[in-house]
Amino acid sequence: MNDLIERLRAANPLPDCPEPSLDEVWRRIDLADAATGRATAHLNAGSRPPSGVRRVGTAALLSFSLAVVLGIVVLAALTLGHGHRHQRTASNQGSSVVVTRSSREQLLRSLEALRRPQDQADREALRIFGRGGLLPNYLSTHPLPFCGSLCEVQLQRRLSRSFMIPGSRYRAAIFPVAVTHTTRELRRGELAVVLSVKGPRMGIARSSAIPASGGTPAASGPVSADALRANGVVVSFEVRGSAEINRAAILVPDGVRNVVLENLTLTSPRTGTRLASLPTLSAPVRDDIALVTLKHMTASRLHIARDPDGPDGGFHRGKGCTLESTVYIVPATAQMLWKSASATRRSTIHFYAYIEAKPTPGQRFPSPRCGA
Amino acid sequence: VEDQEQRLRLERLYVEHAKAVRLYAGRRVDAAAADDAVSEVFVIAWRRLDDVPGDARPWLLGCARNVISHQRRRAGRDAALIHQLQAVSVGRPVGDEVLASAFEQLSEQDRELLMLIAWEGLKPSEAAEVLGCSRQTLAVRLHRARKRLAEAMRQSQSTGRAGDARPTREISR
Repeated sequence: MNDLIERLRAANPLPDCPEPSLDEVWRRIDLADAATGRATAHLNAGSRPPSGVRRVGTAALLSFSLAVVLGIVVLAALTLGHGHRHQRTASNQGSSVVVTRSSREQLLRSLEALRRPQDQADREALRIFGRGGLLPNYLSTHPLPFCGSLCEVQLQRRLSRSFMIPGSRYRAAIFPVAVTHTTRELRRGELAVVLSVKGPRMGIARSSAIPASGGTPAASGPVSADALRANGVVVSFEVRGSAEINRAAILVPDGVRNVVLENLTLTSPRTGTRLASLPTLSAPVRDDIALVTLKHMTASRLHIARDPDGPDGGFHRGKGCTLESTVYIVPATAQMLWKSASATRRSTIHFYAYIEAKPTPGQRFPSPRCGA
Repeated sequence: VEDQEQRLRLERLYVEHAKAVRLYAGRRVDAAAADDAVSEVFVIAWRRLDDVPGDARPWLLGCARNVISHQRRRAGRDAALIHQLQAVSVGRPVGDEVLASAFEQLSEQDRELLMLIAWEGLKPSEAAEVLGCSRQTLAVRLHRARKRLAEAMRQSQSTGRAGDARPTREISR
């Protein structure tokens, strides 16, 4: 008979599997806590233990339930009495950063992507977007420029989500972070969002104030749920070798169907004067993301004089000593109009635009090795 | 501090047993449902952390069993999903057609018991805990299940059923 068990053991259809991730469990726990509170979560239909365990004495079970209920009541009374916001420790970090429950709930309410279960692609995004140590290690340890060395953020891995931007080949990733020190924009323990985009011929763009590789500037620091609802999160990026090199991904809260960018203005980073005004453009929102292409962003089309000494905020591109183009990175401002089923909102957004300037004949790559 | 300790405890449970729970689920339902079941089991463990015994594996597998039953009942309300579930071949022995054919002829109760012992590697006492029965009852059931499997294999071999094409079996609901 034992041979039969051995034979069955040898015919195991699933001898091994990849290590599952705990992130999804924490997400469900957070959602359940946010929706109903821990006490009522006990009533979930799926929460019955195996029958062997159910054989606990009724009296002991009642006492335990009573103790839990009393504990919750006392805890709630203490919390209300002291007027403190309920906080919980972030589980996926080793240090003492705390996340305010209200900001977590606000964020979950604002973005549909955060409410769905975390899947393999989301977890993979943490690795893909983290190439070169930028995420998550960089985010979890590096001080942010806007608040000096005191300010750090901690990536909330289990809340991170990624998805393909509909109708494009770009993948967007939403990385919620907890702020460990109060700043002008964010309170300690508040959850904020970093938006990141990756795709063909572009590298990785992100909305954080953390400087990206290659000197590419970022538009803003992590965005709180309030700021997200007011202004969205904008990430602009440059697509190499494309006729239209400027793209911007705009993350908006649930319910927004369309965004319109009006009064689009480019400003000189050196003098602060207006370089050009661009026509109004609009883009549909799908999965809370609008993908915008800024067209005709060349120095000649915008009548912007090339800087003979090289870009002030930008970079040169070429092969060997052959200069192919110079790309200027200039601040852009626009009035954004959001259209949802219930309302229309207007806000001002800031991002960076990329202006391409073709070289004059014979112009060489401006580097010492090319004789510059 | 208490919250943090509980979280650490859940994380330890997860590190030690998540793979076993995932394998258990993966042998019974398709991959997506198995992933879902694993998450659900540990959410339950979080809610009932005080009930989780020191030897947690049988307890967690028992939870997984309930969760999967619940998934199937829920799926039973959706005709399209039933069809989808029935088309999925899971929990079937591989590489031994005689055994696989005989195994499929057993009742779900017998199959579950044999899977717990052979594939989950549980001792009879642990399997009893998962199934919610006494050790004595389990010993009797196990003896009968083995006997029925041996008989089914004999029949399969004698009637040449082993070569029959039976790629899938219905997942009972």
